Amino acid sequence: MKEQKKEKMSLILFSGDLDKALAAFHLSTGATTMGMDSCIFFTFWGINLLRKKENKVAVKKNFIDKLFGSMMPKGPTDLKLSKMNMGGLGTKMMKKIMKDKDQVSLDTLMKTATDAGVKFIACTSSMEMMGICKEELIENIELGSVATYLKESIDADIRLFI
Amino acid sequence: MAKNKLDATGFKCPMPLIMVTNTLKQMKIGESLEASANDPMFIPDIKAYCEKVGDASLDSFIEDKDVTIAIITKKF
Repeated sequence: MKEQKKEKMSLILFSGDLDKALAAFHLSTGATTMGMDSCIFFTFWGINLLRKKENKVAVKKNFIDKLFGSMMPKGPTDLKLSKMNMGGLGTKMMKKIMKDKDQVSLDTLMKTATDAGVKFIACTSSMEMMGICKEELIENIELGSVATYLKESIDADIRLFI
Repeated sequence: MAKNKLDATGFKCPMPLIMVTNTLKQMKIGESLEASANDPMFIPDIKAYCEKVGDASLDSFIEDKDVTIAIITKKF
């Protein structure tokens, strides 16, 4: 038996694109399956993945924040491909292909990741910049800063920026 | 004859391996699992898992064109 310090993978998800998010979740879920610790630090466009589809809690926001919020995707089902989106047609087609080829959808994959114990950390300064409150985000996530990320990453064996 | 069975056909990477590890967690030491899948990377995935994590071993496998069956034993 190999008894040593548990290996760790830390990932920054900067992008809010469907394809890039898929890669991030595949990797992090794979890492936990292989017995590693894994965490994803969501920053900038990546924050949108953590947004709830419908937010029942009323949040007070100014006009710009509201406008910005309404233009950005809400959760994994809203994401678009980074290339060949073609006004949404490409994304639709990719989702169909994935379904036909037995690939799990991004929201299922995200749930699998949570169940597997992947730690989700949301960057608070990105949230502030984009006018997103913590009430708008899904449960079971940690709020963090640069220091949180560095603390998680300093002893990580694999660090990726997506 | 393996007591535990898992059907992961119709799932693609990384789902079959996740399903196998989840089943392994519920099994006792020394028990075997008969897992079937049609993902082409199923056997390489299991091999990598056994080598890296080491809590299970791949005893044997049969690769057919439609389905792959693997016998995995939990070691600890």
